[in-house]
Amino acid sequence: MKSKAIIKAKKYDNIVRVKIRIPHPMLTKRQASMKGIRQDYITHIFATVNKRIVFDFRPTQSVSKYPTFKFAFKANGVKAGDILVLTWQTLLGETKHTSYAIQENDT
Amino acid sequence: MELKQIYVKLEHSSSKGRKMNRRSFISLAAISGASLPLIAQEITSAKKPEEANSVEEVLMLLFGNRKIVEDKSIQIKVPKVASHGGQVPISIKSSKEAKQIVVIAEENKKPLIGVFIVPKDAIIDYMLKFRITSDSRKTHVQIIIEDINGNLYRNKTNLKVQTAGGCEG
Repeated sequence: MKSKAIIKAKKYDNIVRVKIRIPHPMLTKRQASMKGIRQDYITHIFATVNKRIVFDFRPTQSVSKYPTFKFAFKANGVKAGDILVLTWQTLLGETKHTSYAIQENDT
Repeated sequence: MELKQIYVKLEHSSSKGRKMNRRSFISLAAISGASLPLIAQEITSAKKPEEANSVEEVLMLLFGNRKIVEDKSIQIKVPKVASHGGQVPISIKSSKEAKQIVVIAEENKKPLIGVFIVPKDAIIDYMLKFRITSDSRKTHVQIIIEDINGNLYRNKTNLKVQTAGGCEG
């Protein structure tokens, strides 16, 4: 069963706080050999808002399965409703992306 | 020049009475011949930092011989005792203007966990979850920040794991 990526992004005054979870098993070499399949893990994750890179991470096989991250960036012109696009590339050459509209903090 | 020709020439050229034994000659030829491809492989294959097996190797591949300064102002938050070795949360905060942040777990079989490439106007307030792939119940985590001027700063912390190995090794 394929699960979706989870993104939560909220704008607090001049800071946008984001929480992401990517559905990928992040197999170590040992796990892949025990299952009898090719090793695959995410090698590059990046997020952009209005063509501006706000998050860039290069994981290895030591990052947990279903990688979860929290990050923050200065709003600098980003408004509620702007689209945050999350892209990730895997070791076997797959590229996937998902998007989410940033929400304003209600409280 | 063929091996046979070299052997014959050596046999005739040894004037001091000590003849090179056929056995010792073959072993010498084998050693010199075998070492050449190994040397060539070392020069041509550049190892990636994520394949390095020790902390020193990771740091050498990423930063060479550059000096790393200890800095306690880098805030690292980890649980004192992690309940699951496969999902250990770590949060990193700093007020530095950084270019990249390197996360290393010293006891892991492949110590490098990941590298953050910090964009412009970024706030260093990251949280990630990593897995412990060693059998020891205690792990040391290092965070190294490279700022925009190229200086390297490091802070360390340690944590324990409830179940050793975490079933993820």
